[in-house]
Amino acid sequence: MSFLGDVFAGRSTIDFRPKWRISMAVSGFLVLASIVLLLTRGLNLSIDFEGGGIWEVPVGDNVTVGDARDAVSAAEDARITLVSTSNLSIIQVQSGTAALERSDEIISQLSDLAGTTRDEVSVSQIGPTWGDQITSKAIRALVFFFIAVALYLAWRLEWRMAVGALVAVVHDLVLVAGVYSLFGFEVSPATVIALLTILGYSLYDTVVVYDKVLENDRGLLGERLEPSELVSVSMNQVLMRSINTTITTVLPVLSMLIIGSFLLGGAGLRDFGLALFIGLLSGTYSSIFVAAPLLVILKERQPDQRRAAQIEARRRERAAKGGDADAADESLNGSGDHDEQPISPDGFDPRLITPGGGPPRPRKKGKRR
Amino acid sequence: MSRGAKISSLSVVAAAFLGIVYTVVAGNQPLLGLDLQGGVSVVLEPTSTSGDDVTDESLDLTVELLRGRIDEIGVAEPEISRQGTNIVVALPGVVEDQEQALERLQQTAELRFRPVIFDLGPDLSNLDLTDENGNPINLDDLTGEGVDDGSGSTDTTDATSQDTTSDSGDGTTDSTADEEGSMAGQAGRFSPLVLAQDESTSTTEAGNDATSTTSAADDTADSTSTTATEDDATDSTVAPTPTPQSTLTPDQLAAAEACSIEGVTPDNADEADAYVVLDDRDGNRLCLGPTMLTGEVVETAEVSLDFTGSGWEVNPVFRPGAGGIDQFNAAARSCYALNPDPNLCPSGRLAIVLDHQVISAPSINAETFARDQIVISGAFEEEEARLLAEALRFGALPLELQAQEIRTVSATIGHDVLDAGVIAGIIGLILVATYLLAYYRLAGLVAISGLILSGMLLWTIVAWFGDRYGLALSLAGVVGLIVAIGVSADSNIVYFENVKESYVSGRRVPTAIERAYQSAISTIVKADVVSLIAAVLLYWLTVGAVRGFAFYLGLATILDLLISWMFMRPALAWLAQRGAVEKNPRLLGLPSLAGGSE
Repeated sequence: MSFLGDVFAGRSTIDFRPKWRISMAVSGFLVLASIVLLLTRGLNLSIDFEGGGIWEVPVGDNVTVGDARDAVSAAEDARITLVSTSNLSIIQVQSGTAALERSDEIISQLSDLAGTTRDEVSVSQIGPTWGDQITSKAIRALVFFFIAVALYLAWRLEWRMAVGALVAVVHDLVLVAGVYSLFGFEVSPATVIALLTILGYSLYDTVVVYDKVLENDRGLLGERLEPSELVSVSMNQVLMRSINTTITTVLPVLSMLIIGSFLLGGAGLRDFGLALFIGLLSGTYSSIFVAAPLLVILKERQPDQRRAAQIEARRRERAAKGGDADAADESLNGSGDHDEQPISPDGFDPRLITPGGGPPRPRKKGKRR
Repeated sequence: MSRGAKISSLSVVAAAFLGIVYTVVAGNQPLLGLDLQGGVSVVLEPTSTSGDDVTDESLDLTVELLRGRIDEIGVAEPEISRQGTNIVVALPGVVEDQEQALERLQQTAELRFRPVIFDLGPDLSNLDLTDENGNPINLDDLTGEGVDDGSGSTDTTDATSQDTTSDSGDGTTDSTADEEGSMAGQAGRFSPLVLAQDESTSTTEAGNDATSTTSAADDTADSTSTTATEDDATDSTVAPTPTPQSTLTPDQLAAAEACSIEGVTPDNADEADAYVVLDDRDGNRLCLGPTMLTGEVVETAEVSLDFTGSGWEVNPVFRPGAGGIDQFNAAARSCYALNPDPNLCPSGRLAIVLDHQVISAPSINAETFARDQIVISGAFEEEEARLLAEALRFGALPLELQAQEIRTVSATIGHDVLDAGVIAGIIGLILVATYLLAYYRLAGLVAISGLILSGMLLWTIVAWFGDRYGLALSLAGVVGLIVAIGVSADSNIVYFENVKESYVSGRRVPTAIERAYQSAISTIVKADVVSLIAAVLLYWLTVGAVRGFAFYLGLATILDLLISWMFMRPALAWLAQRGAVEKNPRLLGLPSLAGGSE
C-alpha cells in the first residue's frame, strides 16, 4: 500500500504528535518574529489610510517614469510608478494630502503627458481622517466577529475548540501582517478585505478538523483515546479533505494573483490576490499544525467531565440494548482513568450527568463497527 | 433515491434555468460598480454644525437633498446610499465639470426664510418684465399676463377670473383677505396658535377687525373652492401687491430685474442676500427676496392634525430671544399679510427654502408671534406636513458635508480591471473544475454542475439587485465571487471525502452516499454559518468596499448551503445508479477496496 494511496483513502497513519512539537515551536517563533517586525518596521500603509491622492492615467508604451516625473511638476515628493500590463501601461502618481489642492493641475499635466482627455485620469482623493475611520470600523467588526464566532463554535462544538480556532485565526492574521511588513507590501483596503476573507477560510478548515475530532470523540471509533491520539487519528482522516479544499480555494486565488500581476496593474486584483494567497497557505497550515495541537493541549490540561459522562451514558445505552460488551468495558475503563482527576466544581459525579453537550448521535452511526 | 430528493434537486435546476430565462427576458444586467465602469464616487461625512449628534432623520433628508443636487448637476442613474453615518454618492460615467459638481455636493444645506416678492406662476416662458420699449412693466399687469398664461388651459379659468374681478372691484383690505384665503389652499399660512383655534377655515381672519364679515365669508368660499381646484389656477389668483401702483419703488425694481427671465437661472440661487427665483414643490416659480432669517432660529417643529381633522399642520417652535423668535417677528412684521411692507415683502408670504427648494410659502397672519404658539396650517397632506417639519428641524441643526474620499475612475482603467477579473474568474473556474474531475472523476461532475447552478442563480440575483435596487457589482464583489468558487468546491469535497470514508469502512456505494451526507451536511452548515456570521457583521459594521465584498460573500454562502442541501446528494446518488458507475465505483473517485491504493 503506498503512502499516497493511504492518504487518498483516509487510511494514513501519520503520527502528528512529534510534528506538532516542531510546528508549535516554529509557529511560536514566526508569530514572535511577525510581532517584532510589526513593531519595528511597521506596515506600508497605502494612501487610503494616511490621506492623500492617487492619480492614474493610461499612457502609450514609450512613456517612462522619468518623463512622468518631469511632466508632473505639480506633485512634489510624489511617488510615481509605471505599471505595465499586456495591453496597457499606467502611470500612477501617489502623493500626500498637500498635493490634493493641486489635484486639478496634476490632472491636466497627466492628461497632457498621456495625450488624452481629462476624463481618462483616474483620481482617488482621501481625506486624512478617512483611513482612521475605515480602520476603526474594521477592527470593531473584527472584535464582534471573534465574539460571535467564539460563541457559535462553543455552542456547536466545544469551548476549547472555539479557543483553538480563534488562536489559529489570530496566528494567520499576525503571520500575514508579518509577511507584509517584511517585504514592505502595501496595505490597501483590498488587503483588509482579503484578511477578513482569510478569517473565514482558516475557520472553515479548522471547523472541518474539529468536527471530525468531535465525531470521533463521541465514540465512533468505539474506544477511548488519549486527546493527542484522538486528534492525530482525526487529522489523518481529514488530511485529504484539508489538502483538497486548500487546492480548490488556492487555484482561483492564484489565477487572480497571476492575472492581476501580469494582465493588469494598479491596486485591483493583485492586492486581493496576494493577501489571500499568503493567508490561505497560512490558514491551511494553522488548521493542521496550530489548531489541532492546541486542542490537544487544552484537552489534556482540563479534566473532561462532559466527555466522560457521554461515554458513560453511551455505555449504558449500549448495555441496555445488548450492545457490544467489550466496547462497553473499554469505555468504562476509559472513564475510570478520569475518575482520579478532580471532579467538576459542582461536585457532581460525571457519570450521573446525562449527556448535555448535544443530542446523542443517531443510533445508526453506532452500528458502524 | 427518494422522491423528495429528486424533486428538490430538480427544483434547484429548474429555478436556476428559470432565473436565467427571466434575467434574459427582463433584460436585467448586473450593474457595474464605478471601479469597473468608470465614474466618480464620493464618501461624504456629515457633521452637525452645532456639534450635536447626527440624527437618522437629518441624514435621510440630506440624502434627498443630495438627490436634488445631482439632478441639477445632470448625472443619470446616480446611486446615493447611507453607510452608517456616511453618505456615499456614486456618479457613473463621465461627469462634466467635476470640480464644480463636487463642490456642490459638499455644500451645507441652509434653511432660509425669504420673503415672496411675487408668484410667477408655473409658466415663465412667455413672461417678460419689460415692454417693447424696454420699460419695466407694472407688477399688476405682469401678473395679469401670468394669470392668462398660467391658467388659460385649465378648467378653473372661470373661477379665477371671477376672483380677479371681485378683487379689483373691492377695497384694499378685501382684496388682501381674498388673496390670503386663496393662498391658504395652496401654500398654508403662519398663524398664532391662539387665533387658529377658531373653528372655520378662515380662522386667521377671525381676530382681525379690519376684515369685514362679508369678506370673511367670501374668503371661506374662496378657500373651499380653491382647495377643490387645481393649484395652478389658485396660484394665479395671488395678486402680488395689494395696492395698484403705476410706478415701482427702487426695491421693487431690483426685485423685478432680479426676477426677469435673465435672473431666473439658478446661478445665484445660493446667494443668501440676492433676489432669486426658485421653484416650489408644485413647480411654480417664486420670486424671492434676500434671506430674512435662517434655520438656526428654529428650535424644533412637530406635525399634528388640524382642527378639521382631515388635514395636517405644522407647529414650529422658535428659539427664545434675539437668536430666535425676535428675528422671526421682525420678518413677520414686514410680511404681515394684512399690511405687508410693499418694498420688502409685497405678497405677505414668507417662503421656507431648503437647498434651492421652496418647501412652503405660507402667508403671515399676525404681526407678532409667541415662540411656541405658532401654527403653519393649510390643510396639508400628511406627507407635505412631515416634510415641512423635517425641513424646519433640519434647518435648526444643519449638517456640514465633508468629502472623505473621492475616487474618479476612468472608463479605460475600469474596463481593464473588469476584464482581468472576469478572465481570472474563468481561469480559476477551469482550474478548479479540472482538478475536481481529475481527483473525483465523475463525482467531480456533480461539483461542477453545482458550481454552474450557483453561478446561474448568482447571475440572476446580482442582475436583479442591480436592476431593482441599483446595487452595483464592484471589484471587491467580483473578488468575493471568485473566492466563492473555492467555497462551493470545498463543500463538495467535504461530502465526497465523507462518502469515501464511509465506502472504505465497508458500505455499499448507495448506502455510503446516504450515510455520509448526514455528517457532511452538519460540517458544511457549521463552516458556512461561520462565513455567514462574517458576512453579516462585515456588512453591518464596515464602510465602503468591504461592504460590497461582504454582500457577495454572504450571497454566495447562502447559495452554497442551498446547493449542498438540495442538489449535491440527489445528483451523486443519481450518478451512482448509472450502470457503468455501479460496476466500477472508481469512476466516482473511490479507492479500490482490494488493493487499497490508486
